[in-house]
Amino acid sequence: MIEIQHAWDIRIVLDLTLGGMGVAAFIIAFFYYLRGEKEFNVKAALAGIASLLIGLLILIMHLGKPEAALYTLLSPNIGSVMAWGVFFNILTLVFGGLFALPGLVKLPYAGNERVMRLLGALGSVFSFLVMTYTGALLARTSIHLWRSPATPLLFILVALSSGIGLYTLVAVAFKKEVPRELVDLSMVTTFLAFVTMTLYFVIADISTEAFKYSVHVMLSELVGATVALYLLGFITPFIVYFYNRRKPSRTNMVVLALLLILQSFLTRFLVVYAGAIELPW
Amino acid sequence: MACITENRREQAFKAVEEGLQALENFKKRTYVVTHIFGTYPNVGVVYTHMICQHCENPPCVSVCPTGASYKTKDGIVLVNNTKCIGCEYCVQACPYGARFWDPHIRSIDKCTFCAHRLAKGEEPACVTTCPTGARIFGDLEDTGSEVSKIVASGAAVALKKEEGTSPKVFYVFPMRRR
Repeated sequence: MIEIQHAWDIRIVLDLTLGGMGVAAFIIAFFYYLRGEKEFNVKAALAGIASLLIGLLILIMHLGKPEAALYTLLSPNIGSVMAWGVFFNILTLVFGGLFALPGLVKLPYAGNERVMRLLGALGSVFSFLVMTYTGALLARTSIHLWRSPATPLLFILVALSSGIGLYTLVAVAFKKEVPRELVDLSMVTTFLAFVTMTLYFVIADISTEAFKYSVHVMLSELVGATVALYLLGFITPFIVYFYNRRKPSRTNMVVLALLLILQSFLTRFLVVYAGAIELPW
Repeated sequence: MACITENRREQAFKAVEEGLQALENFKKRTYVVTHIFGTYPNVGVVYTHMICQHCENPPCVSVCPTGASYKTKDGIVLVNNTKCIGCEYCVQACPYGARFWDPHIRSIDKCTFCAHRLAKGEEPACVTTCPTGARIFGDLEDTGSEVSKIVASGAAVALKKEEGTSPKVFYVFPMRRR
């Protein structure tokens, strides 16, 4: 008997989406901070940390007993992927937050370049670990669709896409140019995410019954989300990208950024909601 | 083949839908599923008692972020209600669908092998109440126990062995299962 999982819902999808987007935006912001543009990139990093924080608050709302969450720190099970995630998230919030806070308030260390670089580097390392953790979390379950080695890879790709999306939105808001190579990179991640996602469908026939069922659900009950992902998340970004190369505009960039964020949300929505477990009878 | 149960699971589901929440846990901690096999005219039915399989390598324990899920010295998998944060990661990790969130106790719940009864030297309630003796409980490490002899005979099988969980609950089916 195969059952669709019901334990995790839209709040988990939002946490994974906002978390992945936030940490990717932080890494991008720190990269361009090192390239020279300081003030704006600290603000972009702050947007990334804010996104991560909102995602975590949504995750806490999902917990059946949020007041017990302290036990993840008091008595962590170091073998648990989720426990690693808690530490990675906290360390990202601490180091990334300290790096980004000067974008909001004046802080004494903000003028010290060595300190800022150290905080940004540590924040980026833990951000990357958070980005990989979002997929690893799902992979360490009994749900065959999630267990696929493609899942962590797919989640990293869509996190990068959406991170570029968030960075672009902040850049537009502050009337800054979005680096051309960054927009190009979003097309690479979009294409790779398209290939990885499509592989789920391609290998379904030679996979387990639970995996096949998950793919069947994507093509039946969740077909609206699947079509939306392919049209709005994978194909339309390319159309907007090429259109923008011919006629560049801020509107195009905003539309592209929103589509990249939507790509991440729809991918995670589909993967989470199509998760099926094969029970032993 | 000793099981004569009438499957009450559907009735329990219906009762829960009608607002009798107290039955919800009853149906989830332990219940009997009906498995119909074969094609007409060669068909059969087998009832399977579903509980936590108290695995040797329990994935629910390894994924629990707080250590709320743990295995005792005796090999029983339990949940510390105080430390459970309700993330339901263990629900996703269990290949047997044995775990569930209980809003009444605000913790993940599951079959405990009636650990409170075992502590008093009694058998689990499901074993003592079964009218046909279809359920057998014992020490697998005691080669002289009835349960050890059945397992050693090869008549009993574990479910989903491919998961590598090494369950400690075994089933004697009328037909061999993988």
